[in-house]
Amino acid sequence: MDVLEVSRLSIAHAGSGAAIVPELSFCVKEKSCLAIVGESGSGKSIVCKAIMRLNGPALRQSGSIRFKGTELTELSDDRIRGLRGAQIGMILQNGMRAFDPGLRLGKQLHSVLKAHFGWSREQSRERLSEAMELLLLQSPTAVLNRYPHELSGGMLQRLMIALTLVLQPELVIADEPTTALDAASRQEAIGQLISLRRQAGCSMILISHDLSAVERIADEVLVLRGGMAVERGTAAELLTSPRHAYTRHLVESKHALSGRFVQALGGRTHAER
Amino acid sequence: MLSVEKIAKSYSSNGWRGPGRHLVLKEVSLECRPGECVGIIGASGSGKSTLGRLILGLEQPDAGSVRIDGEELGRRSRRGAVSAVFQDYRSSIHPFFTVRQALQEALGGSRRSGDSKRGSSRKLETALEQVGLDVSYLERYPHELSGGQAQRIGLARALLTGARWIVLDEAVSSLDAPVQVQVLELLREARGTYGTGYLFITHDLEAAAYLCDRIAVLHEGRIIETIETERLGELRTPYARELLDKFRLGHALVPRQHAAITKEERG
Repeated sequence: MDVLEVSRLSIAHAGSGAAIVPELSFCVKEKSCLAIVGESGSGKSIVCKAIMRLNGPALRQSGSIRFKGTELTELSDDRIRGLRGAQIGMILQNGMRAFDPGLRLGKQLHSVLKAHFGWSREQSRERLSEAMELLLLQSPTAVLNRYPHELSGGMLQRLMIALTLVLQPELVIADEPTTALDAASRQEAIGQLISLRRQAGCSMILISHDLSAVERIADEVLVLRGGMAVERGTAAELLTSPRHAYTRHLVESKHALSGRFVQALGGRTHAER
Repeated sequence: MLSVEKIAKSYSSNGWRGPGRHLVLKEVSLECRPGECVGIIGASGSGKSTLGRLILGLEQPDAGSVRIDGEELGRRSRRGAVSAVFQDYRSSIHPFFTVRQALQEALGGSRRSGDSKRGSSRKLETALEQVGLDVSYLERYPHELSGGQAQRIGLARALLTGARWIVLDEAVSSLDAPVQVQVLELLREARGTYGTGYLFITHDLEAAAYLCDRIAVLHEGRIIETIETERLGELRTPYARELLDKFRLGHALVPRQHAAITKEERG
């Protein structure tokens, strides 16, 4: 069964009428992860914001977005607000911008949990600590007492993942979750997204241009270019035998980049295989 | 030869947790020959950007020195010898400057030596061609550039100064793979043409391996190991090995045996 069905979605500038996404249809299967890959400006973030109804009035959209059979485009703003977080979770690129800089993290995470579940502070703290331990985050209490600027980007990213784990949404949209991290934390974040999928049993949309993240997390891939789907298939298929010129270019660049690294480690490069 | 000798740097931290000093670099020494590319690898907070800033003379060390051909350099005399490209060029120049103005500024030194206006304009065009952009870019503003274009203009600017060394501080980190390859290739070319040396500061071991002859691993303010790129697999110190393993895991795409491990781990 499909958790999310997007059909004939089109998004355009309200003023000029210029199309950003001419027409796009895709679906996310239950408990599977769809990666949306594309260069900057290909419309991947805007599509996800359209699902969450986060695009401002400057953009006009049409088409249908069905989440577990409910037509999202017909819901009131209030209903959508209740859905965000609890049913459809979002993990953003930049933890520094996603949190309120003036509030201790424990307090702002608690406000989210209170709004959705009506939990007391102790309950929130307990559940968050549990989730953080599952993600191998050390000393959760100390972390929750901090302000966002006192933690690294990787740490904030983990907290966002931990919050999502507590909220247990049906669908998680992760928008470039590894891009802003340094390469070592990136590997950790990938591991945590994998365990989020396993622990929460949720479906996921992963927006990324990091092919190694896509390879490890996603089941299916959709390649966007200029708002159009130019290629789709399973992750393994697409990464080993890409058909569209852009996808090929993406995969080849990745191989070119890692070629010397792999060679230095005594492995065979892609070209030699 | 550009040599960093036993350089140390600390910052005072007069935060709400009370005064103290935070030691960022402890006796770091490093050498870079003309035309050589040395990678400086480290996690966030390892002190790698501070090292770059000290080499550029943007900050003064507490101890130790930066020398070029044996001569210790003050802030002024270092100008022209070492240049830089930072992570996002769009945010490192004046937003109201056109590309022409930004590049012209880099030419400041040669205008003094009596370049005609037309002569300098020609130089700017050549510089742009070298980074694969056409003349129309001269009239653009920073916000009109994509990430890759901006980094290429940053490189053009650094090359125009005629610097013998360029500090590349996360210069390709925010770009996606195809654009990364493009910029790294341009860096290789420029190095071939001008014999420019690079200090490539990054957290990305893969990009470092692509470009560098040698790689130095910076950890908690010290260079814990330096190794030739071809022998990367022979890193010995535990931290460097750990870093290497993380990258190996990340590149499941390439070596098959690692792909198998990650599938298992995914369960």
